Amino acid sequence: MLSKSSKNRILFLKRFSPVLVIVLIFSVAAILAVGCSSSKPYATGPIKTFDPDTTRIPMPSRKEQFQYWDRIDNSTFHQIGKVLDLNRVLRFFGKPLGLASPREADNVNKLDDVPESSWYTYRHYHNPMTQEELARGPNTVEPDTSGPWYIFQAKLEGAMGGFFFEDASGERFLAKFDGPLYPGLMSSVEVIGSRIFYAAGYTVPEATVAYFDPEQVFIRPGVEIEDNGEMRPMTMEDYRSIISGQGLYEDGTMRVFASKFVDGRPLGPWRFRGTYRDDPNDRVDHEHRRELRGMRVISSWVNDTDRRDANSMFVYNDRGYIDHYVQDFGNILGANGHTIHRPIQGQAYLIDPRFMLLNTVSLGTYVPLWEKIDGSYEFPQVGYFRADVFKPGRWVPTHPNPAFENMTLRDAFWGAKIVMNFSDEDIRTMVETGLIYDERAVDYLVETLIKRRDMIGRYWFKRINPLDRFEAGLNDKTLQITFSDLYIDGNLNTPDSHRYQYYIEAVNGEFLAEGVTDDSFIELTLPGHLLNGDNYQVIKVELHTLRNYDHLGDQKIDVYFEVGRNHTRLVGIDRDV
Amino acid sequence: MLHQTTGLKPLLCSVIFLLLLCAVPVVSATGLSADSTDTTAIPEDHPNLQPYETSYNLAQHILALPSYIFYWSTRPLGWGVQYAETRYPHLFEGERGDYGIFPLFESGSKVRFAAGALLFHQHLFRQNHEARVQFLYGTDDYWDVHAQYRVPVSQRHNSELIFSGNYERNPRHRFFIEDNRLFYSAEDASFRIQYNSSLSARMRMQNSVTYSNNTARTSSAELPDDPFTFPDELKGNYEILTFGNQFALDFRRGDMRKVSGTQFIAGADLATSLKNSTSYLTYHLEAHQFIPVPFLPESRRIGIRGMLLKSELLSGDEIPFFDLPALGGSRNLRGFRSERFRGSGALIFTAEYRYPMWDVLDVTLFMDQGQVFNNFDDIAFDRFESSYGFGVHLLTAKGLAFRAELAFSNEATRYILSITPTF
Repeated sequence: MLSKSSKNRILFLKRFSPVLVIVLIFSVAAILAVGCSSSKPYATGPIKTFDPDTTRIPMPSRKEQFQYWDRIDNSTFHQIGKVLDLNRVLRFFGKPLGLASPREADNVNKLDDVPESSWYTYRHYHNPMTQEELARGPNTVEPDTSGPWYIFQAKLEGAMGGFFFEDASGERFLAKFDGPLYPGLMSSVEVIGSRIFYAAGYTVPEATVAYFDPEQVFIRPGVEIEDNGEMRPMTMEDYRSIISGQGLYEDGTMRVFASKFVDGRPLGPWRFRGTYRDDPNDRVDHEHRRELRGMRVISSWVNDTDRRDANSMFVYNDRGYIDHYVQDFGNILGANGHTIHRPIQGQAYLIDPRFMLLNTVSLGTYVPLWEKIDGSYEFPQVGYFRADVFKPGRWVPTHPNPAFENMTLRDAFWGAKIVMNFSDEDIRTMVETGLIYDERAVDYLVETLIKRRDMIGRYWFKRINPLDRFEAGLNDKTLQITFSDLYIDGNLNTPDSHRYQYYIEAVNGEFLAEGVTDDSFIELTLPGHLLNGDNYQVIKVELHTLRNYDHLGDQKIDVYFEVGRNHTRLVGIDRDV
Repeated sequence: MLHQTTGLKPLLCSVIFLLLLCAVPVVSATGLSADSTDTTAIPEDHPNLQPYETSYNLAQHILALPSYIFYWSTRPLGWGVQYAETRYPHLFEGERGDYGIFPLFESGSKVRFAAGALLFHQHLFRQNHEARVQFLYGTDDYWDVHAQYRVPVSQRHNSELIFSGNYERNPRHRFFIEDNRLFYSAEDASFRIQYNSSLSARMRMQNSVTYSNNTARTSSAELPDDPFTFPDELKGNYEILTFGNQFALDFRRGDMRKVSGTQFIAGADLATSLKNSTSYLTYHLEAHQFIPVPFLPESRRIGIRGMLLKSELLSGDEIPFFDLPALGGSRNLRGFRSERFRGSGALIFTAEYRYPMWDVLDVTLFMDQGQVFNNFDDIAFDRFESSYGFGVHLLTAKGLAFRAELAFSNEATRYILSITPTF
């Protein structure tokens, strides 16, 4: 016989057991999900510098390009889906309580860096480029304007008018024209954007501003154009309609943005979320790739507001794998395609529930920044591009981008150090490739980019300790460690404003040294037993930056070096956030 | 005992399941680190040969399950949008095209479900001659058709001629006698010619002539034992010809988001019965004032409207009941049902505070005060009916595209969806 209390308990269980089961399952799952396994913060073998996603694969099928669904999906359903993903919710609430850590990127090595892959190449930050290389960017060839151009395909996709042509040398390009109200704007930002993103390490199509003779353009037989939903042969009248509104220069030429056909077979856009099922090399969710998350900082620098799925491209190359292109830079700097950016762009999403709620509950008393500033501009060839209203930490593209949304402080630091690595001279070199005819406009654009770059550095380098480029050398038994303070290197403050506190120990816990140094150099004599024998020993250098002016950016960095008898090597960097 | 086992069984199973779950090795979601931690690694194990991979453990999949379900439930919509983008790109470009057709649906009002279509042509017969036909069918007793043809008058700027015709059958048209709601069956047909013109930058004029044929019958919704039924004396057929004239003086400035200033509208309709000697005059006076809120951007503005309507019998017995001024509905006294109050005159005051929620969305907070009367002497402060509420207005460059409002009164709470502005 069951007692009354037992019966009550059973009735309770009977009534609530399904709910209890679900709660229990989710609770245990939460504990398991949050309690991740840990691995050593350093490598004892080689450092990974390449992600082998370049294995030969059969050519995947082509994906259709859509202009709208990714915007709708990322603006609405993805936002709801985020709330329903309890992993994300638990992290959100667990972070302030110290119970969860940010979801870091999946493709970073022990030096907190991105290995090269089909997505990313070490360029200006890792291997400094010359001014000539920065100016050339991805270009291998430019359109031949000495002979006729033949249109071999009409441009049906995208918002801007243009056509595909073959020049006298047989090279194939896409031609896109400036908006009639802003001559020279879109073409210049397309080229400048391609140089910046190329130097940052991304794969971009070749891009050039070209001046061609509009009378020397002809249409190849068989070219079709869409007219009211029907396809029909393209005529010279269609061509003239495309170029109408474009001004002629004194020599009778017309300005156009020309993008060379990429090597390989374009397969449509890749997404900023998930992986491409048809590509077995694609193993890392795109929203968890460091180079895509950190791209948010680079995009914020140049106000790249239209960075979304439709402006990317899979290309199956001749070596049998997929290259991942970033393309369409017509919505960066002051340009918004054929027109100019509005003050709200970069400040808020096209549909932004955060501000909508704020506006609503404040009964209109909250006035967002973009309502306080006008959208005026000084130079039509620059459009609306300002530094004074730029908020590096709050910058968003026009539509939510899943990879950008996942950006953590470490991702942001990665992006910021790439941006800060461009010198004033580098910036001017890249801006000048846009062939902006007004020298004052060039100066303004360069100046604004420099200001925004420095704002990025000041913002992000105050949130994570910006010490980088660690190196170590052994001089007899003396270990010499050098590093860079990117805040000081970026001329954001004077060297005498920073000091560095260090604490050095072997990973087995043996104390080695501690102290404070005024410059980015540490020297210590290693005990003999560390250097005896053939084995290597790993030592940990714990670093803090002491700033004279505030305590921001003084988080700890643990740097790991492998030391041996005749050998030192950087094997790990662990940044506190 | 059976109850005991069935109650504990799921719990027991879940505990076992969770124990099994705990036994599953947990893989870090921060990626499988490919950096070698093995000093004896052979070259084939070089980390540059080991690809990164995103992986999730079972626990993380469980926690993400609701989002997975939601994700896949929304994919069919995505496929639909992508299909539509391929087949009907103009739908996404904010352009309607020169001609087209839109489906119309109505549910939960007079009938359970009604469907129809809106057909339009922007250049029918001539350039900028706009035609639209809209029909909605619910049952044999409930359907309507509206047609309109707009002809721009080339000699005069902003002038146009509009021909329109309507036919509507509604077996459950509402009618109120004091606080009692009745129904009658209405069959209405009308044809109207209207001429809109701009006399100057600030003055507009509208002239119209309308022929209408209205029949009121016993409603199918009326039950034999209802204590209140639609009065027999109001039933019958009415044939009316109406000549209308309206002037508007517009001293408003700015676009609709930053409008300020005043607008006055005055108009009169002279109606004559074609069946008897009844004729009557209905006139209305209306003033709109828009005031920006001090210390805030101009897009925060207060709109005030005052409107007086009055019908005067000129000859015959009485004015047809459906042509008497009425209050209640989507444009005035919004917290009350449509045509809730009826009299030979109506007075309405509305105050709205409009402010931006977003780029093309305004929030509005409103208060309506109104009363109907038969003689001006009847107007009294304590006879005003009150309604208040809030809503959202979707704006386009041309004006209001859509509004959704929630209105309250001492009789009802009403949800309003409309494409017609209040003022």
